Amino acid sequence: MKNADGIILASPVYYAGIAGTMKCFLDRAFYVAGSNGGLFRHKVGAAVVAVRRTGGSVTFDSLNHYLTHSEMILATSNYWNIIHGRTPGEAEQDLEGAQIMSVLGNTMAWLLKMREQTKDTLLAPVAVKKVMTSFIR
Amino acid sequence: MKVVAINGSPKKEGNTYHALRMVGAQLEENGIDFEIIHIGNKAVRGCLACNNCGKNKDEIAMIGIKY
Repeated sequence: MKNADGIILASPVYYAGIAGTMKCFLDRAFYVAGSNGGLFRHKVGAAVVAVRRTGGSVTFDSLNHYLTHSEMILATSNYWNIIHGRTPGEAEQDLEGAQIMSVLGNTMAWLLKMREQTKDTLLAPVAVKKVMTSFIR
Repeated sequence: MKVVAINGSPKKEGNTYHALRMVGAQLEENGIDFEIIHIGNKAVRGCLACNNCGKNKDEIAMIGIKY
């Protein structure tokens, strides 16, 4: 993840949320990234969700919380990045879901190329020291 | 250029994997390396908020071997 130019976070939906192990991993990974000087800063990120019935957009939002907390560049598609299916591989039959994933891949590739081609000509914002309060102090 | 995808499904080749392959196919078509890392079937304990990763600048805590 540290050496990648882009990161995709993908989870199935468990009780309308991120699957447990994935949640544990993301809490750890993004805490570590933050406390080591922002390891994921300005990488291109995207969230992907596979769901049987409902809870897809809640899980998608939850995954995006990690990306948008880390100054990442968010790749998007023509809908929220959610695909439907029950048995393994059934998602292939979700034609709209498949298109969403395909458009996401192309947009992500374009953002990565844009980032690469402008790295010497367009300076990225300098990192700031994070202000941490509990609203009152 | 490279994209890593974290597969958070306990199932190795379930629908989460299939969704990632669809995104990855377009990335690869655009000449971008694509790798899926399967995390969902590993034993990863919840973050303990001990901040030892911060104090020690310790990246291994991502998968929770030490803390």
